Amino acid sequence: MAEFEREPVPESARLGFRSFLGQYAGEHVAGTELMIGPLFLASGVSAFDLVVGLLVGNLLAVLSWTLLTAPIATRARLTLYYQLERICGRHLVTLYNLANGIMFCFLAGAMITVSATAIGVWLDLPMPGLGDTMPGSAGWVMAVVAVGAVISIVAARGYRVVARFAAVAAPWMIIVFLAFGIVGLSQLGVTEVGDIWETAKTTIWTGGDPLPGQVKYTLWHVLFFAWFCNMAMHVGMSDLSVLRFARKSWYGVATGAGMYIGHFLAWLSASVLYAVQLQTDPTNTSVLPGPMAWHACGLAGLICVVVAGWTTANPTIYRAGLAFQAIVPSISRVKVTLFTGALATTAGVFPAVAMKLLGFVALYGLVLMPMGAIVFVDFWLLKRLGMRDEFAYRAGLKFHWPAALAWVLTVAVCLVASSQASVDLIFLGLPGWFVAALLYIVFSRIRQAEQATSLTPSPEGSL
Amino acid sequence: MKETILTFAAVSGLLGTLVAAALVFAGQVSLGVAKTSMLVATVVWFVAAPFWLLRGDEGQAN
Repeated sequence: MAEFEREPVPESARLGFRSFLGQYAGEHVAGTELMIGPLFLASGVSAFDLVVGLLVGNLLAVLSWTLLTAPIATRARLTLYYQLERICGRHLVTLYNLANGIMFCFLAGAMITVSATAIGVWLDLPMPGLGDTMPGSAGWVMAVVAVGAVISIVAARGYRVVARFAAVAAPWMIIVFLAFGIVGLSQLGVTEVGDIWETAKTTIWTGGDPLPGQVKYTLWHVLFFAWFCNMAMHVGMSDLSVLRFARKSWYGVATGAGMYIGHFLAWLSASVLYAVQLQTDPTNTSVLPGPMAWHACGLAGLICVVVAGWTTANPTIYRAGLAFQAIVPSISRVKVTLFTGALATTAGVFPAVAMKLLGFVALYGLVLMPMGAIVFVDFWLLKRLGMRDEFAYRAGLKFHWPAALAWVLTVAVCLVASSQASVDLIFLGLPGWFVAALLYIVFSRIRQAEQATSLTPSPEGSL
Repeated sequence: MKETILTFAAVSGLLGTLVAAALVFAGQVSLGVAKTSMLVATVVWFVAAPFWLLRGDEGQAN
């Protein structure tokens, strides 16, 4: 299929609603869901806070895709990278690619960690605990390296084969995640559907103190996490590259399939498995998807853990490779993907990323979010405010400092606010978006005033 | 006819996993039996589903 990397997607290449439904449902039932669900429980969240927080937060995420990302995607029909290049200049996009690629590597590392926990069950390896940041044994390191090597080589050599395998595996994984929850509830002593909510409140998500080393989660934490765990994709505008193929902008609601299957059903099911583990042995606080899945669904559960990690690490490593390759285009995609896989595997060896996944996901979104605010302002507001959009493209710039400064300052302000005021990063995405938008408007006003007289329209014109 | 059989087998693989879990919940089968059933259902799904889901998709892999 043509990628239309530097041109709008033509009418003939646009896709129907069902394509997006399937893609989003599959993409958000990932290996990392098996970590996030248990980490909620470890954070001492109550049943009401978790369920209501997820319902509302996921709805806000779907609305963000539908009302922020999709309208721009279906009007401009450009990839995020090309749209950013026109706004910010090629050199700034290179920096963005570097940040994006590094974040993808850490995310893929967490997925490799998840898959390695299934290998650990087979080989009876000592595995990391909830508070561990360093690898605890040579066996664990070898398991992660073996899984990472296989995933990396396959991503480099046969990305599309794995993508097709992932399409086949997705419906089955959704069913196995559901089975995790059903069997887990049974293991907690639930025998009737009517008893589920009572057990949820009194046995599973009882509220109270978090486990040692974890941050206490309230309804607001859950709501903002559900909303912003994919912040880079919706308000950060990464999914412009996906939704530009949509015939209508309302197709953004297809993300609801991913949110309510992956980020509701799968998280709750994985959380139930962790509750079973804690009920069986309260001292075993390790969040290890392999052993939890094995106890609930046997070999089918273990296969699900490996497949969930593998099929989602595959495109993540591939995307990171593409981001790095954009920086050094002379190196082959195979070499870049192998290098990227090695980075991800190194990250996966250290359990810190997976065990602190809630915090990492918040940081990942925050770092990439300002560029989404810049795209939004450039597309909708600059012309209304009497300024020129796509300034780098029109002025022939390779580095547009208003965008760079707005990006860096926003991230810095959020990080300082988080450390000084002890505010969880997940809450700073929303104010951060407005900070980035405001800074970009102010800096653009200053920059465009300097060049107002000499600026000439690009021969290619505006899109 | 072959397509119908493969589609039926694939759907049975999905339902088999779900039904096994539901029967454990209802106390009708032991967890051991359910785990074996889920494994069999998994094999059935991965054998049958590619022929169903990837129909007409051949030649696109690299």
